[in-house]
Amino acid sequence: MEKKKRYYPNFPGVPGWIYGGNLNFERVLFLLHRITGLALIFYLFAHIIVVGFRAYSPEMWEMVMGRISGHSNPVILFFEWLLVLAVIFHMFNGMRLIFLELGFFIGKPSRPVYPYRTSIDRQRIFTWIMMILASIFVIWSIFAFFMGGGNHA
Amino acid sequence: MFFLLGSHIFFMHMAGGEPLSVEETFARAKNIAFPLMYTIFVAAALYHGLYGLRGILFERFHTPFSQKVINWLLSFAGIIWFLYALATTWIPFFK
Repeated sequence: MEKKKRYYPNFPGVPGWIYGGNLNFERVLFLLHRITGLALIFYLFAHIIVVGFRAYSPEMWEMVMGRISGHSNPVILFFEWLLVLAVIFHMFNGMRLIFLELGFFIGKPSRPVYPYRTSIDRQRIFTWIMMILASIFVIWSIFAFFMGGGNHA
Repeated sequence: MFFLLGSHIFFMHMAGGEPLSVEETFARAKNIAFPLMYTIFVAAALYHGLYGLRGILFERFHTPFSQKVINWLLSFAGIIWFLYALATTWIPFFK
């Protein structure tokens, strides 16, 4: 009996995130969106547990925050900042994807006249705008986390 | 999600003040707007995150059985985490 085929050629799996298609700007954003999304969902589980300690007592909350807050440990502060970077990127890239899926910024359909112009070319400007907006918030986060601008002084 | 998460990050990390202090944390917990907002936020975040995780897992596991298992496991995890978050959000409000 022939063994059931378990390989699906059109599903490159996790390695295909990198090698599937051209590694252009949008593909890099796709890869980063997935990595930050995975990081955020696993962090969310931990975050819910940690924040849940406030339900026990104010003393418990103070003790937990004293141990794991970025105020008390620069390494934790750095990882908190990385998390905020992931959030900022995921938010702005997600907003970009929503706009594109709704049909904004991809131009009107046109006849394929050489030299061809794909929707990727048309949406590239919007992509850069969203990434520049994200970068502004990243710069703000550096100021807020490490230069006394936010609540991490 | 964009606005809920954006405002959460802004107020907790970037706006200044001491939002994680005992006084401010429990003052927020007593204001009904915050538990309500966080209930909606955590439900949306869990659904969004777990649905995304499901999509990624489906790319790796193709059989109907494994996809059914993934659906059940993620739904179960989401409900448990949501109930825990719900309890810990509203207990300080009623205490």
